[in-house]
Amino acid sequence: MQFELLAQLIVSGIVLGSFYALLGVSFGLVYQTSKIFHLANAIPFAAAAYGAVWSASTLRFPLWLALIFGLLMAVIFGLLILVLGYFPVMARNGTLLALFLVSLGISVAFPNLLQIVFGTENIPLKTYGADGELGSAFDNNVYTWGFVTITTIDILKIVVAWLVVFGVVLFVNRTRFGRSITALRTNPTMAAAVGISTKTVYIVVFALGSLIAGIAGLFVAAEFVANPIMAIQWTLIGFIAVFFGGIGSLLAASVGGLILGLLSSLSSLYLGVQWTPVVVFGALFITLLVRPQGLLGKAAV
Amino acid sequence: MIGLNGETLTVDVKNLLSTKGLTAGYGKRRVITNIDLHVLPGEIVGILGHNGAGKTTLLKSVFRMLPIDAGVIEFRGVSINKSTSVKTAASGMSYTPAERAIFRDLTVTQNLELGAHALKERGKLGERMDEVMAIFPILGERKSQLAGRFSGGQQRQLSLGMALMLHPELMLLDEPSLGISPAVVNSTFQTIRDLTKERGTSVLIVEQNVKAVTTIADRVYVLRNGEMVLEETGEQARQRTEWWHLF
Amino acid sequence: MGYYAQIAINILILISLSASLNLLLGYAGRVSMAQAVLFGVGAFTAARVVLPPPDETTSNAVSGIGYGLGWPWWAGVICAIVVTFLAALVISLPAVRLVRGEYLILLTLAFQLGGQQVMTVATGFTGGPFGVAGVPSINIGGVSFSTLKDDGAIRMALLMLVVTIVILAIAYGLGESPFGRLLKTLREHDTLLPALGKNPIRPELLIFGITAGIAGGVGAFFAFSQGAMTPVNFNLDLSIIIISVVVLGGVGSLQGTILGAVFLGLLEPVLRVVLGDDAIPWRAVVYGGALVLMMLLRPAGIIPEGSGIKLFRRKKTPGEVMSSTEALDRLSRVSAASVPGAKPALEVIDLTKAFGGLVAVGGASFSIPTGEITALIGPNGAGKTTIFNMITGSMKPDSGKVLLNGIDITGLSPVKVERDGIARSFQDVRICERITVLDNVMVAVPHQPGENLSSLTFRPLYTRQRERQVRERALECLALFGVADKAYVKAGELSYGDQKLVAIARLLATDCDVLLLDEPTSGVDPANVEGVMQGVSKLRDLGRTVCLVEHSVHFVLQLADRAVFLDQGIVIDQGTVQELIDKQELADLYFGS
Repeated sequence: MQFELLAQLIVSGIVLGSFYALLGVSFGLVYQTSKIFHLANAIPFAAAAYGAVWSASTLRFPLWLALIFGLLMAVIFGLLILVLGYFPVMARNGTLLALFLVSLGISVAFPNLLQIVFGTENIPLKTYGADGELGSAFDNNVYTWGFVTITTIDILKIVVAWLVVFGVVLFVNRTRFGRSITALRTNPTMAAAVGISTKTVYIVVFALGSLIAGIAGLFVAAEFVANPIMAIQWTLIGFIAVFFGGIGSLLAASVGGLILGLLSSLSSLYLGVQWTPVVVFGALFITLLVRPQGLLGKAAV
Repeated sequence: MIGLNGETLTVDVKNLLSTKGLTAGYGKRRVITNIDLHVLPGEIVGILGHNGAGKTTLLKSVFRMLPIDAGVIEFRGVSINKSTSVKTAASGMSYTPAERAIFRDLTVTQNLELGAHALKERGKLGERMDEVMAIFPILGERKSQLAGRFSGGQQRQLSLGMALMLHPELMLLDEPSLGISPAVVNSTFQTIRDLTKERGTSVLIVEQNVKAVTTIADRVYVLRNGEMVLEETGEQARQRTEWWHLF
Repeated sequence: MGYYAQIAINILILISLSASLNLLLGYAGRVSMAQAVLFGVGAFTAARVVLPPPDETTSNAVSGIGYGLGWPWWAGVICAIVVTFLAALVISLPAVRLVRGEYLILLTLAFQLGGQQVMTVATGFTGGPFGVAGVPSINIGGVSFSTLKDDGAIRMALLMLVVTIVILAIAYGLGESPFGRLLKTLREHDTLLPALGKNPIRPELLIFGITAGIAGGVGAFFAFSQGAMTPVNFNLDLSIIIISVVVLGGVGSLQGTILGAVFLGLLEPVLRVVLGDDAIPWRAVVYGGALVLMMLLRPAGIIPEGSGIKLFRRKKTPGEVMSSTEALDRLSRVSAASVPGAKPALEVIDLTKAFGGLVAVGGASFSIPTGEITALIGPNGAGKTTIFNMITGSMKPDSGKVLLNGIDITGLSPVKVERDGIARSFQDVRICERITVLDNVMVAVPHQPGENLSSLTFRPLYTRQRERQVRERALECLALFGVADKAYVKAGELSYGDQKLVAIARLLATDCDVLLLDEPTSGVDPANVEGVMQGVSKLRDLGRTVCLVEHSVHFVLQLADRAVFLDQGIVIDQGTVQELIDKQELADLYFGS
């Protein structure tokens, strides 16, 4: 038994799974509250990545400012989609299918717009150093620990992801606004009766969801590159995490993401890397067949 | 009359609420047609009628949860046709639905807090909650429990408590007797009467239980198949023996 | 010339793929993100069937697999269709159980992405990421259809045109057939078909299969015209393009699909002339943006369903409209007039039903006499609708029996109950707004061979003849209630009162003896209520047994012969309506005491 390899794979699986959990929370928050199949969550993801990369290289922002700029772009674009794309359809009492098609159209058009503006090459995140030269934004150190290798970004992913997950869960459960989100989701009539504004809740939820998607996008830009088609694949993982883990609860979605990450990582050992997507989609397929509410979800009433 | 800030307001005889020619429904379905009614300050008005007569639609339209097809609704003499439920909740009206009138997955305290969602001076939240828990002691005793665990009668008390959090001038109550055992119905209605007479709150109660409402109402209307077919005083309603043809 | 032929072939392929999706999305209202991968399954199947066997290959393809079964091209097409049809069952079998729309999107999405990945990995079948090359082109009697040469390319384009026309004809024929009518009913209301005695599972499975089969067949022709392909050809982008074509053109409109496909098919070559290599992303921006704008501004598409040029003369007006009395006469002759006073048509014995801890029906027993109108009345929460549901089979009783003319039908499925002779209407009317009034009623008529694909294909004359009879019967039912003049109008344009009348006509058309009406007057504005009540009486005039739930006692007094008074899930009393309302204890129960 290749114990060293297994250990490494488990650690990689946890890193990957934590990242998936992040994506799951982002999509799950939006989906649970609004029931919209928000495929266009890919846009804030990409907007953050490109925002950071562009502001660092063109506006010469230092790293921290570039990251903030990226997140700002993510929130702005996410809200634009809500206000310009979804709200008009909802005002017309549009169907969920109509909303999905708007989302689909945006998800197709936007990455290609990025490609037109920024080109198809992968753009790494580079900042201007003290010497006035464009260089790598930060040092991604590699730590070895027994059999296991892990990088700075990996550690950051785990830390940030679970901080965000618990932060959001706390926000939803412990704050007044968070409870109004739950109120709107579980009993829209009563929510209207006490004066909760659906629009306001949606705006906050979308802003938060987009922010988290943006965080994920920044990670990918920092670790790899910014690339036009990056976002859709990762966004879909967020979907799968939610439907696989459980659609009723954010914690279930994040655990779902973690399990998917471990599954992906371990399957690469036993089946080979090219089978990993098949495993992930297969897991989703079987879940939809056998237990549509998700692994940890409550059965639909 | 007690205002939202606890100050005493002078009452004038003008209608607190009035509708003229109110017509509303869902898409093609015309549910209520040409409804004229009014509620005076401090009055308890009952709306009776068979299931499906349009009573809930009427309340929802008044609270602006539904679009209006025709007619005018005036609150404190000002048209609220263009208003939304978010605004009416913050301007002195409360709405308590017939079913699922509480948030089952939240605690009593959280429910009451949400009832006060539109409260501007958040500092008053604590004292309002104490007030409500004094009226309905069971809420105070079980304030950290999930509302979904309560019995029908207790949930009803919670829903009334939520409505009272904002000291509304007009309470819209949809079938408050629903889900309560018959033995408790009368005391619940007495509580409603005592509370509201004490504060000068107006109440518009929609009900199928004729007896319970006519006992406490100042005036009643009867709705049948979306039309207003009768308006009379509470006294006349208490004397009435033949109700079948009105339903 | 060959270049233009190639563009034409691509457009025709897109039209065909989109027409097949339109069958699923337009007629049946189901979304599929998997058209591209199914297209690919057909293409690879055909390729492997048609490629020469190993010993005959003179030069192995440089990349991918160069050998197969060596069968003729038409065998390739057939195999492609069959394999894809079977592959679709993988999606459709779970899909028929999933009610919520977004699950189907996710399911087909998983199938598309997973399937494409499997294609990339299954080097044995598809040649892996490098795909397959050297697929021989079509050769009919020595005439080559190879696209490598101009004349072959033009022939291939013409062949594709023929194929596309055939596919469009199939799509149109299916859509306008009784089978198509079933699908259109399914797309608007999931639970309506069982209540009309028609099982929705078979049509749903079949339509998934047919949509896939067409995509697979087109895939075969793609293989023959291209000669080579890789899994990348069948990616999610293509699925999205197909969806865009259908949605932009107009869901449910084949003419719209043609327009949309031509537009999207020409987009790339045109943009290429203007923008060069930037054409590809710009194309996506254009159709993605068009999709968004279309959903915001004109969701029905450029050519909404039902608009467009009418190719065949369609009756827009019913000509001379039958009068109500004539309809009554005709329908009386046809229906078996039941003998009033015979044993009760429907008997409910000790029915109980509890939800969680709450008892909705606690032992209800009553009988519905034949040929009369009986009302179930009682205060709110008396369990009336639950009893209805238990009679019609949409809910199983915890205990107790339901007897129809003495036969135990307890617990049977709604389809079976309807076939035994009990039909119900719905409180929320459940009219299919996007089809005509006539179609709404025709779908309820039993024994329609046209709903069966094999009859449709192999016994067209019989099917056509029966369809004429069905139409006549539906028109008679509509005429009885005075709405026959609106037969060819889309049901969504009718007033609510008229929709209720159509629903009653639909009920009559089922030919069931026992009709359950759920709140027939609710939601009807005061001016039209009288018409609805008269409609209900006509059912009795025709000898039907009617049981209705009606909350307004005022109406029940005018409508019903007898009533059953329920409270808290048990029967308190039965008798004529007047008898019941004369009893003080019932008034106390109803109005509180």
